[in-house]
Amino acid sequence: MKENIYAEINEKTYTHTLGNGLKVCVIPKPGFHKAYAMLAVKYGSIDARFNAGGKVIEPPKGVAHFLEHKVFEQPDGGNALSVFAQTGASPNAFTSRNMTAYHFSCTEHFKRNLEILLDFVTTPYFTDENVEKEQGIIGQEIGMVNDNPYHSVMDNIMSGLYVSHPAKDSIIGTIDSIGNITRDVLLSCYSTFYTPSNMVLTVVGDVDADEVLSIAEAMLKREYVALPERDYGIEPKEAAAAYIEKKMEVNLPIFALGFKAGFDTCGEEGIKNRMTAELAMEVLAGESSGLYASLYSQGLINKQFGAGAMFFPGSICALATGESRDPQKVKKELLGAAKKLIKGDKPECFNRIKRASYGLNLRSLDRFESLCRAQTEGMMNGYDYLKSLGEFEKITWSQVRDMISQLIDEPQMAMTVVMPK
Amino acid sequence: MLSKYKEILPGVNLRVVQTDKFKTACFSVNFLDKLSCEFASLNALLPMVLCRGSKKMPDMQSISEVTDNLYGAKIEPIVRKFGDVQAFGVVCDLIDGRYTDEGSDLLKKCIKVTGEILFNPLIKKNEFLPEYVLSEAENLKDDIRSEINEKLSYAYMRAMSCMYTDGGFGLNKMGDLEQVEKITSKDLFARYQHIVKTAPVEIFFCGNASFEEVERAVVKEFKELKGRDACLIKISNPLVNLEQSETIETMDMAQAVLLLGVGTCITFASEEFYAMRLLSVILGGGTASKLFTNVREKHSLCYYTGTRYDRYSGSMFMYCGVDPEKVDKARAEMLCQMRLCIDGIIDDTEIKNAKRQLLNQFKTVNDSPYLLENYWLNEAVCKTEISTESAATEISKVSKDEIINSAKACELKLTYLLTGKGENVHERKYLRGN
Repeated sequence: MKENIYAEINEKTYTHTLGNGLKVCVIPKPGFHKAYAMLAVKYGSIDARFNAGGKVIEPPKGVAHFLEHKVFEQPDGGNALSVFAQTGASPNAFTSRNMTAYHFSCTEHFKRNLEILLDFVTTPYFTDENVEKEQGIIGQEIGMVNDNPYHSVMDNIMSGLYVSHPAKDSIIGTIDSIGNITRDVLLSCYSTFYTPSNMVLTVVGDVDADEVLSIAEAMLKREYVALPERDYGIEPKEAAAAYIEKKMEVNLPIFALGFKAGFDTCGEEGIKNRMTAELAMEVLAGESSGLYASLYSQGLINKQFGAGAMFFPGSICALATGESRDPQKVKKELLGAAKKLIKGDKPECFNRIKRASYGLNLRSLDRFESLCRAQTEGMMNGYDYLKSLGEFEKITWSQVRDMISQLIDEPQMAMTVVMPK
Repeated sequence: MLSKYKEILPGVNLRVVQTDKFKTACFSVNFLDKLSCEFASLNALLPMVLCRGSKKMPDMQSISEVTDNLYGAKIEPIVRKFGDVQAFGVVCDLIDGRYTDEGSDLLKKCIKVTGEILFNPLIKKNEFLPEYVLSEAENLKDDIRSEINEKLSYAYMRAMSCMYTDGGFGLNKMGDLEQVEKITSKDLFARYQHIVKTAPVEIFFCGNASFEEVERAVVKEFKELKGRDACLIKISNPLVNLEQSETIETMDMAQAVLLLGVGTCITFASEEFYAMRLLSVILGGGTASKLFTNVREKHSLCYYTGTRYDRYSGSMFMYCGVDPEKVDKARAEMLCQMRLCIDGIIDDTEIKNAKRQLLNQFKTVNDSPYLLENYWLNEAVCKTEISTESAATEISKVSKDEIINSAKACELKLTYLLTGKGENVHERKYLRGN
């Protein structure tokens, strides 16, 4: 395996790509008891339209997430969760807009757990009965997230921002759409996306990198399979809807302000854009910004307020979310602050915010889950996350200012509010 | 990993876990008080107001200027509840000085800034700045009101207060709206002075510094804690003879949350403590548990289900999020799983798996400064000093009979249902028969 050293942050990785296309990355963490492994499939809710074998396929919405539930089911009628229970590991999985990931953490029997992980993800077992059973469970999951106002505000902001990009749809689907998912739908999506060439295996912990590689080699012996062509549509510059409101039983209005802009988010250029966008949102609306202090002291926001960015193929989405008695005023002040930054000179806070952001990034290296996810996301999109941390220092004010001017513009903006009933 | 605990000033204990394996360090200062209607809100508000500004850093922006330059160190107010004890103060989260130009000075500077925020507040004529008190009181009220946004944790809090109508176990860690309404900046300052003089203080540090280094910095920067007369704060004994009751509350929501409250009287101080923890895992601790495999996987009734055991009050709650139409079925199934435990129908694999799961958790605590902070604060409040290693040993010694005995101590005391407004709640009556 190739050894990559990141001396400044005292980290290293071992990486390798197998003949079948599987990318493997091990981040050694000497002295830690816990080991964490993630097998991620580059198949998220945005991969909703694709061309496989010359046919355009558009399965029911929510199928990536449905598959995540079903993959745990095993041919012997058992469930991978109970196999993990015997080794004391904590397994779990998630589906995001960009990926589906299966992971576990453990403090013993790492090798055995890794084998269980690789085995269950590669041996699906779908029957009409177990698909129907899952419709009941996911139906309750939909009920749970629909009752959650934070979730509603996020779902609405995505549908407010995007017109044709499938990022607009909720990850989990709807009761109706999951009702149309059948065993055949699952099988077809599984065989299209669950191939080693579309997967990344990342391990963090005090483990032997060569052992990880040889287990992966032994267990995933499939040939290289070509990947489907994904269709994300042609996204206009303008947001789909300027304002979406929903009424729920909440105390204060909960809002999200979103901005989208077309950007390369892959490769070297992509990671530069990602880091610049994150820093831009910190400078504009982070806890150390003038805007945050002003909004907070006016009682317009509370500690729930946050700013950040999300990344999709070809698009960056910047977000500011929180609770406010007057979300419209927050919007006005945020747009005003952006204008001021675009026109003005480098703010005095720029260097210290950069320094604070470096500290924040460094802290994430102790959290295996987030480190693993960030590194995986990088490997899927052609950049090295750990290397990028060292490049953070090089981002200049003029790059950040350009990013703010390209992102923060009213026609590209959507706002969603969950109002108290 | 070296761990040391000692009283360094009157009523001020310091725990230092020294290790160089993290890039992050965690420093926290917690004042303890008995959770009471009268003072809970005042205590909760205190750190929120202190973090708004101090004499030398009079507003949030000037605090940010200082902490940004300390590589984004974050000093945040925190309030927690351990049984009927309230712990409130600040947590400072910083990076290891090795990765900065500051070296070991970074920690010293962070302790100094924390001391400045806690002990050199912005005051005017013997009161806190009224505008800060007013605006943070609004935030505290919003925090209390916003608890409805997370349905399960809201339902749990409501269920605790239904089960424990007397004493502090059922109180909200933030107090209540009425109490917050009454707070004036004068009262709050008086409370502050009282707390600084008398409340027990638990200070924690985990990171790349020795006990002595941290002690020196704390004693130097926290002068106000010298020569004080600290009182003793202890968790109350669990309440016995709870009445059996049921509560149904409604809110505008699609899915119902059902909680079944079980009184056990087994607390952290009981001999059966570790057996009880195992029972809670077997019944509802994760994906191999009886509740998960039956209520969710077999009967497809819910997405989430599990148990939550509170070691201070000795209560255990079984919970699930369920279609309002299927509440009765879910309730019956949950009780059936508890009955199986009481009847001793637990197989060896379940016990083995539960032990593994808990041992895994104990080891994992040592991999995170924040988990360690919470672990040792728990121990400090309980006045026990059990390391994760000793706890793991105790867990592995527990026998099947001991687990069954702890199950026999389980008695259903409360059915709590939070459900949609359209539900005909009057038709539900559980006490007549299970």
